[in-house]
Amino acid sequence: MSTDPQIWVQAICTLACYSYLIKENPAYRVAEYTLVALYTSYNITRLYHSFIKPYFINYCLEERQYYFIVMGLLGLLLYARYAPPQYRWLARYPIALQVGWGLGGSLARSPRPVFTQVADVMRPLNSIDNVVFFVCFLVVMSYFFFTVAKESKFIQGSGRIGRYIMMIGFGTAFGNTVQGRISLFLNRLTFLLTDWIGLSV
Amino acid sequence: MNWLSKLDTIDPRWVYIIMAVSLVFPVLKPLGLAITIDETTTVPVYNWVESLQPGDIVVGDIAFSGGSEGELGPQLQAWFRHCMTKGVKVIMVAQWNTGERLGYTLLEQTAKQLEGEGISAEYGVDWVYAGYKPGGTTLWRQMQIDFWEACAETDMLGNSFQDLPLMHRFRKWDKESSKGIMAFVAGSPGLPTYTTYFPDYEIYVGNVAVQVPGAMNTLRAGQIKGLLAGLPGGAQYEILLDTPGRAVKLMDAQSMGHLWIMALVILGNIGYYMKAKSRDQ
Repeated sequence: MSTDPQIWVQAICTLACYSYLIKENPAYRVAEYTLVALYTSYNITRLYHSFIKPYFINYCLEERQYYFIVMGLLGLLLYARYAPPQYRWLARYPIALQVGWGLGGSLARSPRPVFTQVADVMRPLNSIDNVVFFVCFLVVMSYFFFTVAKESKFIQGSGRIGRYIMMIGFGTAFGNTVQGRISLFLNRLTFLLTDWIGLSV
Repeated sequence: MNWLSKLDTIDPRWVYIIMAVSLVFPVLKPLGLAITIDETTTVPVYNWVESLQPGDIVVGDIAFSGGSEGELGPQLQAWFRHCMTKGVKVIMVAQWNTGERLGYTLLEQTAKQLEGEGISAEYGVDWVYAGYKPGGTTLWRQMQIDFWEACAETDMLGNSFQDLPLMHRFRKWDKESSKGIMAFVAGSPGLPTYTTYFPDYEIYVGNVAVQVPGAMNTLRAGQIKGLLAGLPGGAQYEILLDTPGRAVKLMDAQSMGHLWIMALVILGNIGYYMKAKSRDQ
């Protein structure tokens, strides 16, 4: 059994989290709230030391790029939403800048990866894989044809096959999800068995 | 209603207990089940690192946190070991602040092991951890123009880039200075950062299993060149490296867990079918 207090804290928190499997309980909530509090405090401290402080020293003080101060002040305006009602509108300026910048960047760049995938659908039908892929693509698309009357037997039939193919896809996703969750549990399990209890695995 | 129709209402606590037993047993006493190497996903990642020359620089990204460490940690450590063994230099960034410190801890552990084996893994010379920087994709674009400025010329530990010899070869993040990107991703922000803003780069991904079906499209379309898929991806990489580690040890338990889930799916369906049949009668 470990004698390291850090390991004990980790082990107790791990067990507290898994206690949720039995039912909601105070131990789980303590672990949950502790995580949120730790995350917030860690985040603020890290950002200050690794970004705000070096930026201020390197660029504002040493290189005299004072416009960084303007940007900093603009960022602080986000907190104006907690000010008296007559000043809350000031918070809209940094948000407007962020949204405008983000949208501009996204509109310029985001279509490319999507169109790369659309282009990839158009493959030569020179292998069984590609033929199967193309047929599956068509029948799945036909499931989402809302402009053709559903009375059409052909659309009904292909749409039904498309639905089965989608279900196979969802089954794959489910299988991977289970695999992922088991992996995460195994990580905690090996921690409890080796680091905490001291078994050799 | 016979006992078969009760199969779809098994008490979840029994499910968890049997799952726990089926996972604990193989961890304590490995069964030695076979692990197949995936030629389309894992091998391209391995071949990419193999093709690099000593001194080449690659960039890695920590886009996961503690919740995904079980899957992505072994991948990261195996890939980092491979790079260091080949003499490839690694610069790490982190898209997730919650995984920043964790990523550093994992790399430092591996670096110490490598140093113990006589393989150079000196911080600042062989690898640097720039860490998390706020600003999202906007900042990642800035890194392509001026990596130093985007990172405030400081690594995660507070060292100035001026004092880290490797960083003098990496002023900006472009295709000439880096021979590829290896992103370990568990969600958002993650892979889209690279397929959107680094589309012409050699991109490789270490992914959590949940996201693998979604990432397969990008692999097929050539947007990424290789993919380590969950814990099996890590295990396969460890086998390719001939250094079986954490992931290989856990694969038996992974398989047993899957068998139990498959059994539950079959039992649940039998129960559902029998209940519907008895209702019809």
